[in-house]
Amino acid sequence: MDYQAILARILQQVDEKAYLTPSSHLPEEHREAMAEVETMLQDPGFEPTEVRAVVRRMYKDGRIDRVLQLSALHVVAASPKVQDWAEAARLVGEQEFAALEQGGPHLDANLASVERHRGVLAYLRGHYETALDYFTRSLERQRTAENFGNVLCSLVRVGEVDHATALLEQIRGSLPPEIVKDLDRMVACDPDLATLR
Amino acid sequence: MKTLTALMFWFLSQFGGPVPVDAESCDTARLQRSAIEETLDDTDCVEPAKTVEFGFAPASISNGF
Repeated sequence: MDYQAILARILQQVDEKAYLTPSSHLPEEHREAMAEVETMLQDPGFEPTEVRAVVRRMYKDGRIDRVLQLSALHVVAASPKVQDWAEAARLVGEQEFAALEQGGPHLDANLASVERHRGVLAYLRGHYETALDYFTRSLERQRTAENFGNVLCSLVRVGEVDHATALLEQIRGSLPPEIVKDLDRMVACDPDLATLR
Repeated sequence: MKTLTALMFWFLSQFGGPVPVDAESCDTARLQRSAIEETLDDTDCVEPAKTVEFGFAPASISNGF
């Protein structure tokens, strides 16, 4: 894999100095519902069946759109508790098609979500180079602390610690304090990023 | 005869009976245990725990919506 080409793409995102807050891509009318789903998923004892039912009901009631429904169902399928990789991959494909069909102003953010989910699947299955490629694509569509963090994790995993360190330094020097603060917190807490401390 | 003995032990084991133990299988078990213990002692080989955060929490690999 050509890391230099990927690194150039990543650094371009840093240089552009744009920053989106992690939830800013979600349409205002869907944020409250997705926050509820998020809270459920962050409970270590969450019941996948219950979360799926809640997500489907939210879609039926018009509280979330089809893209977000499929995204949330994917997150459940890829969770450590479920680990249904085939189902998670199938849902991402469906999510991508739903995003394309929906189009509109959120298309880029919706496709960034698709690339992120694919990257997470590749990462969790041990394909770190592939994950790096997907996470870079997601970052190109959406510059968030979350996407930068995933890129850093993948760089470390493929052994590009020097490049990850250089990228982190560049982020610290050029991006707004909010994203730097988030990333520093990730580096301090994340075992995958321990080599960057 | 050997097959018959193995079958008999299998049948007995289904009801909590004795299982065949011979010197060879004991040696194999000892070797396996030793290998496992060596692996556990070698902390360099231990992979860091992977954490997956959901939603938008910016920690480790993140699978936000």
